[in-house]
Amino acid sequence: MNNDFNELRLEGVTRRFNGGGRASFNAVSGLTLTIKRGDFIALLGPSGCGKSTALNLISGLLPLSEGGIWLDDERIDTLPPEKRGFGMVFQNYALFPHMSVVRNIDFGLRMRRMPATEIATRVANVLKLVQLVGQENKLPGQLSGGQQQRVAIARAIVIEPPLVLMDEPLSNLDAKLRLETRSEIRRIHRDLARTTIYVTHDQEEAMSLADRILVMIDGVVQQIATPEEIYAQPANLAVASFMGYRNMLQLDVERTEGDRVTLAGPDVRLTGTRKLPLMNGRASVAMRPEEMVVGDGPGGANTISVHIDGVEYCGRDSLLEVTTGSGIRMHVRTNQRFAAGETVRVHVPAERALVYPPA
Amino acid sequence: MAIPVQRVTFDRTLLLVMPAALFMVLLFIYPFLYGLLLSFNPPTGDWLANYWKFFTTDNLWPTIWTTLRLAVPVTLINVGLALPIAFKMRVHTRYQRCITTILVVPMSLGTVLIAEGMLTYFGPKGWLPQTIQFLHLYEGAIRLTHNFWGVLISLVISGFPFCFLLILSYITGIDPALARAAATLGAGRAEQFRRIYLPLLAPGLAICFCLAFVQSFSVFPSAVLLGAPAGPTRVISIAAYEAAFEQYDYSLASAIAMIMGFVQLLIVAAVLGLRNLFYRGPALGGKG
Amino acid sequence: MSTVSHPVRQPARRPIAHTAGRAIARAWLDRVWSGFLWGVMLLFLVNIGAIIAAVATSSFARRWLGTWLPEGWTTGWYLAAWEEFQLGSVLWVTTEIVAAVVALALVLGVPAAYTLARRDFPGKRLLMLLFLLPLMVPPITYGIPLATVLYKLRLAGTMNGVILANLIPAVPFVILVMAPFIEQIDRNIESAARVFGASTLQMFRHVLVPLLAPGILAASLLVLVRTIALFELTFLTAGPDSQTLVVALYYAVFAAGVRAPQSVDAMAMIYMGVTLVWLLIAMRFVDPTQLVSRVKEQPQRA
Repeated sequence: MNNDFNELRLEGVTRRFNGGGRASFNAVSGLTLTIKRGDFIALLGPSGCGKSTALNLISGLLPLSEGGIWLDDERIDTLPPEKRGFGMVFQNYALFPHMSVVRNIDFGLRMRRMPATEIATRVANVLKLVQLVGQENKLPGQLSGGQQQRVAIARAIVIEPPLVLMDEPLSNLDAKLRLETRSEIRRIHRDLARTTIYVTHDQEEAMSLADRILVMIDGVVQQIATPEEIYAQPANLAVASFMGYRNMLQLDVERTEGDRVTLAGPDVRLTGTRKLPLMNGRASVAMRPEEMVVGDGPGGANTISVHIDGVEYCGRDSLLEVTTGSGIRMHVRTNQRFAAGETVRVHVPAERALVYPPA
Repeated sequence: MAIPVQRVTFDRTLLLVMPAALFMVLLFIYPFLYGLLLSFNPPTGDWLANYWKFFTTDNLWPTIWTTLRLAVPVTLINVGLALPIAFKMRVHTRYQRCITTILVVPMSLGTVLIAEGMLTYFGPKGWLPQTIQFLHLYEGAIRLTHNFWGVLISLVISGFPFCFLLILSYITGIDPALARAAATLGAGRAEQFRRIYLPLLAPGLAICFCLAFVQSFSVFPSAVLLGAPAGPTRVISIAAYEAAFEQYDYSLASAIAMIMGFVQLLIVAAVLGLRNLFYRGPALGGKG
Repeated sequence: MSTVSHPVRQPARRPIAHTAGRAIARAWLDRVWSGFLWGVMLLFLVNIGAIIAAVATSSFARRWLGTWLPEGWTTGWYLAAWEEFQLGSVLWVTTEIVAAVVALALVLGVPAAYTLARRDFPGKRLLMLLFLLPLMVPPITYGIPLATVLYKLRLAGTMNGVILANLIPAVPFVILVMAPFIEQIDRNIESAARVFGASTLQMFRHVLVPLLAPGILAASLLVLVRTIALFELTFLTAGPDSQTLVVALYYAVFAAGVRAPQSVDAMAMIYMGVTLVWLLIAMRFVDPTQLVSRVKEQPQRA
């Protein structure tokens, strides 16, 4: 297997499942992506969006219904998984329960019939890398969740694969361990610079680890961009909704001027920034709770009067659950202290109110 | 434009099942079909002659009834006794394993040893009649061997452990949390059994009945050793054996074997049909 | 429970006594039922014990004609039985046959069980039916045609023929027993093995077989016990030098009119000894309740 490749290319990758009866659905539709060596790509999306399926297609555990996968010029989607040579970290680790830590880690090397001395060296190095020195002869059942996770990671990288695939590796860990292991993964990637494809439903994880994020919803790629772009400029309403733009209002389009759109509703008038072409009629505006500010906007523009229904104290700020006069529910983050029952005015900067075609 | 997919290599794991499947076809299906054809091919007469002969010969067709007369009560007794006992044994106490083992020991005896033992123990001069007479429990002759009862008892002895094990497996497969939930809602023990366990067990009981029935319906050595093979316990397998190895009429023997299989299939199908009236889903997580 | 509607100065006593009475009655009923069950079990076990004891006593008796206990004891019958029925060679033949059946049943059955448990393919249900049929059909029904086929293949009466015949119910049994064990193994472990380069053979060798070891052991022991006890198939297909112990015992009993019953009893005891040993070994390694279902009882939290 060529360990020094330049790019992994997916084109039109589709996976069809036959559902119950005669209905078939596409778990993954038309996935097209090019990954350069050393990239850290996150596949991000809600549960059931097809990201794990996409990973299984890349690893070879599932065959493609349509499309192709190339590693440089070599077509690999017809190869079975044992011939592709990728490393994979499974969600529930999938450690071999009857093998010790060392035997788990060197499994891939043994299957490649590497000489024993080289195996020993590589294993020793990787054990140091994941900080598991001293646990060599333990069985997986004797390790904690975090340790098992590190064995799984070690097993995947010791074979020095061209590509490391990670399927929601942190989802079975508790919050504190998750943060620690996240740093570990980031550190390992920095040290080894192995191309990684990382599947997760946690946007914070994706943004902190990835060079580029690929957002998938219902099997279709919605956006491929850097974390900053995805965070600040989601490509459509679905991505915005997933990325935490909790305030969604459906309003009438009043006026369009280039990128600026003015929308109006029963008791609200907003100017936002258009992200996609709009028809006249209805449109949806998405705003982040943390980008809404309590108080009047400049010249009273983009300001709504709301009634506070509830206050969630979160330590460093508070989350206000508010309702507009016509009953639209929104969320606003603020440092100021309020009590339920109060009425306040909140505003949002025009460039942070993102407008999309209605859902 | 959709990129055509190159066919992935044929799933080779399917080859793993081929040897076993082939073996079954060659050694089970083929002889079975061969026997079926043979049964339609008697040395004299037309293709139904064997079956005609079976149903009109006086020492042949009653064997069906004789065998059923043995098999059905035995199966009912076995399942009926195994159910409450297995239910009692479902709790994991220290002696559960021990008692389970003891109850299963008769499986190792085999019909032949049981037959021989019963001839000694139940026989006219055996301990049991002597004890009963000694204790004056019953005046008069007790004949438990070389008759219907002998075969019945021996079938119960050899069939009970199997039913017990199977039902025990099914019972332990029912999540005990269900019964506990019922208890908190006010169901007493009898209610718990009737409303929770029994419906969930019904499919398993049906399977147990079928397997036990198959076992008793094919009774052979017991009927010869402990019964009166000439008359009251002339079961259908004896008829088949005689046709094959004493009259050397393999065609007739195959016909009798087919009839035997057919009757049995009827009853099994009937029981399984009844079971479909009950809950058929999993009893939570386990294999029901 | 009746509701008492007049002004309460004393709490109504009757309902409580009524429930208490019912509780006592229920407890008593429980005890009677429990006693009945224990009684049945005891009756069962005592009689079986007596049967075994009867055979055992007879095998050690010098002469025993209708009295409580025999007149005189001897171990001579065992030696007589050994020689008369050629038990040495019969035991050896039985061992060979049973070992071959177990080994072949595993080799055929385990991969088949794996495929059936893990893969979906058209015709799967038909295949499962094919494998379950021998367990549902009585041995005589397919045994007689099988005997004729073996006769035509000139395998009748040979050890190979007996092995083949006994294999027919053994392979489905292995498949049946292995299925829950295979389903219990996390599929991701197999995926992991494949991703890291293991071919199917390597996966079996390094991952599946070690993890399936308890299941394979269980299946082997159960097939072993079953085959030793399986009468009809061997009876129909065996020749004089390929009889298993159980068939030889049958012939001995059948011809018992000519021989002294005590030597037959001795042989029966030897047979029982052999099966009992293997059954106890099997029970040691196999928890019978886990063959069919695998729900684990959750320990009660305090």
